[in-house]
Amino acid sequence: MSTPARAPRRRPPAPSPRPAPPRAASPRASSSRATAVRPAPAKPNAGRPRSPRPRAATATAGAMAAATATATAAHAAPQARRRPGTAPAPPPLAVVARPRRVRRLRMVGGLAAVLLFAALLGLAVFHSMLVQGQLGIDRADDQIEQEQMHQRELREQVAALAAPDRIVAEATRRGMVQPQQRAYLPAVVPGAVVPPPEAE
Amino acid sequence: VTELYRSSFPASTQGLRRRLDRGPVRHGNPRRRLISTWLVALLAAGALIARLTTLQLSPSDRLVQAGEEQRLKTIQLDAPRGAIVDRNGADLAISVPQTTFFADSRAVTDAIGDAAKLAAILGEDPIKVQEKLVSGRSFVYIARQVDDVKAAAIDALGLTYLGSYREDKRVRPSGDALGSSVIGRTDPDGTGITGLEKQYNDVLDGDPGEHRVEQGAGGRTIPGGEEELDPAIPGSNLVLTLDRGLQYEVEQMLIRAVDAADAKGGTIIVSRPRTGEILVDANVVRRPIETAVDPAVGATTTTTAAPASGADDADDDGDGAVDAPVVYGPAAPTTENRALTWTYEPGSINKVITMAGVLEEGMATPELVRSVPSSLDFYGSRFGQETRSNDEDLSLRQILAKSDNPGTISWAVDLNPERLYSYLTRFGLGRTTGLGFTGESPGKVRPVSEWSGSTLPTAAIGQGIAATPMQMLDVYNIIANGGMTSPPRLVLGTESPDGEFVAAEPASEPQRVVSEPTAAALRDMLTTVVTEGTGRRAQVDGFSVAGKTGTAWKPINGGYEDADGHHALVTSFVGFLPADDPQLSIFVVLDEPNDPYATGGSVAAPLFREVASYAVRHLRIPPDVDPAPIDPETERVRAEPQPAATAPTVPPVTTSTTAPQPKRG
Repeated sequence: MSTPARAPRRRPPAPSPRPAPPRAASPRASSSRATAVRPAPAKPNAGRPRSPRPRAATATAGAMAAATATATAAHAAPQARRRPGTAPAPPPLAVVARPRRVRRLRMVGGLAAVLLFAALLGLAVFHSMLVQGQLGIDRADDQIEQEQMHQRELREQVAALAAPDRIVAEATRRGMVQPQQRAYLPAVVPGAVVPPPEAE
Repeated sequence: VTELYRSSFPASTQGLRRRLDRGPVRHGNPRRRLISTWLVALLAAGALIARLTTLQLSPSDRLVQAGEEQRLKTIQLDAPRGAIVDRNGADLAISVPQTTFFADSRAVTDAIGDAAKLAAILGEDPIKVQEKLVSGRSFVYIARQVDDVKAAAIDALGLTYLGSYREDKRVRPSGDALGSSVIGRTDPDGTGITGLEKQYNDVLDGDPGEHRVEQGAGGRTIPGGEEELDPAIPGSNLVLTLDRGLQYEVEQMLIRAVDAADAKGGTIIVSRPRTGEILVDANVVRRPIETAVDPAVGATTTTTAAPASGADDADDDGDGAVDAPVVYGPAAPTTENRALTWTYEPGSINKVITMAGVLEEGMATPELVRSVPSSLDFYGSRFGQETRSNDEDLSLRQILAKSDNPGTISWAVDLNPERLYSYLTRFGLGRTTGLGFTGESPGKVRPVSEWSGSTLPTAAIGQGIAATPMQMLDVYNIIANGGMTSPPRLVLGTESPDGEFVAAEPASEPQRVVSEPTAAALRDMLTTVVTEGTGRRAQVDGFSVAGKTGTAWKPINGGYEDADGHHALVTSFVGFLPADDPQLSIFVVLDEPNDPYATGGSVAAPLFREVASYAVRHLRIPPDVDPAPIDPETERVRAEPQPAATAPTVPPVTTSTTAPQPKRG
């Protein structure tokens, strides 16, 4: 099931003339950035792939098998191959292909993180809109109350302006007076001929 | 590595050097530290989560309450008091928002200076304001219900110990005096204490509401939080039967008349006789303005030169001696609704009840003549007629037209005390009118069992009994209404906040008091009073008027005259028009005009005419007779009410006899 389907896009790097130092020698190395080029583990799934670059981890089945075998031998007994006066043979490096499951998990995890972020962001936006709307409602309520008070004040002003004593005072100020005599006009029947007024 | 560090750092870094001298640097185990840090963080977070879980899953009531008190705010929603409007929707009393200022007087630093500033704005005495500022109380009112202009000026002072809030103030935009005796007053908290404000307080008062809401910092509402709204329900508007414009004009006429007659006061009521709706309820009095005791003479005198007129020397305190003269101020509307609370002996306007009994009992017709002596004696009391000294043959119509006392008494004797008492009570005397007005007097009519020998003649001519002006108007409304009662009404109905009008229920169902023929005969007789009798000055151009004058004596010290033989008079006139189709009834009374010869016909009837002339134009009531002007010198009497030669222009009658619906808005 884990057979690589694609051919490697580039050749695996040539073996380094110097062996890679043991990773356990430096405390930083244990937690440092992973590298795609490192001694292959004895078992394909024994070690956690640390390279964030999965493209470099592609290889054919044959190359993987060879690299695995070489790496196993180099890792298993590095001291045995040392001979006095000779440099130890560097372990062969190989591109480690990450398991598909791990990649899928990372992808799903990443997607989940993005979705979570988006959801939180949406929630924040929604809450912001909610607060904004509530603020608008509060302002509208205040405005309604103010306008109602204003309406009542205006109603009082209108009533005061229409008060009889003010009207009379204003009319008197403008020189208007009460009529001394009044006359009722005769009724005019619709359609009847109105006689002309008599000459004085 | 140690050597490398030593060579790299200068000698001044002694601390580091000492550290390096201890030996090789121990790098420690970062992984272990990381794990430890994570463990500590996890433990702290775990503790927090555990505590939160505990609080959330098993909250105590105390914590829940404390939380709610922090978040939940209860905002009281004030319900505006309903307005009082006239029959046309004109505002007579409304509530408007004003600003009330209070102070924490403990924080006042410059009481004298601040009091001066506040008093200048409020128009109050600085001493009184200063007393409030130095009271030492944490809450003291500085000014209640201040208008916006003054409120802005006070705010501009920047006094930090002052606080304010908004509350409603009851105002009368049409004038404080207009209809004040009917409308009444409220206290500063908006509760009615007099008049219709008190009587209909439950209707006018709204139901306050509450708004419970979760609020965060700054008083902002927490969105999506708990919210409970119990809205305030404003009070209903009270729609009166009064007509604002007519009320104002009649009040002004009454003020002028009271001043002109040097009377103590007066009352005018205008109503619709068919419906009992009161269009005008005007009450005017003159208050004593200044008196002082002169120690030299030991008598009370005025401090200013007392005019001959306007001085009251009657024995009001009942000590048998004439009271010291009192100077009265100008006439002004009063807050006392004397139309309902003031009782007096109505005098001759009560004779119509005696006549109604005689006619209703079939004892006579209006034209039946009998010989009437010039005076009658009853148990030592003589009842005469000042206008004649001989016996005369007078018809029932003439007796009423001339307001003849012996003639009326002679018919009352035939009617007998029981029937006279029956008619007095059937016409509504001795009981309230059903208006339910606070302080309304029922008047007084003693039962027959308590009558003395002189009660019958005195009651027959309107003395010895007490009635309110409204009761006497009601008597004439019954006659104008064909013998049926039409209980007076001051309220047309209520208008709910959503604009629904609910008509007021009548105080009682109409009841028949006298038959229609009797009422018609009385209307005819009362028309004669105006055309030929004592009420000629009540004639109105273009209208037939039916009415009756009244000149009554006021009780003084158990009698009707003071030690000098002077009488205190109450002059009145009550009538309706047009006589055959009454659409308007008017009652006029002047209390103690300063003229010993004043009569209802000379003082009250002209005022009736003035009021009626204006009212028929205001209410657009078409004339029913030839509107030929009346010569004021000759007081020309019309023979009979005649239809106008040409039908007069009849403008649209907006005030029909049926209850009109008030205009909205």
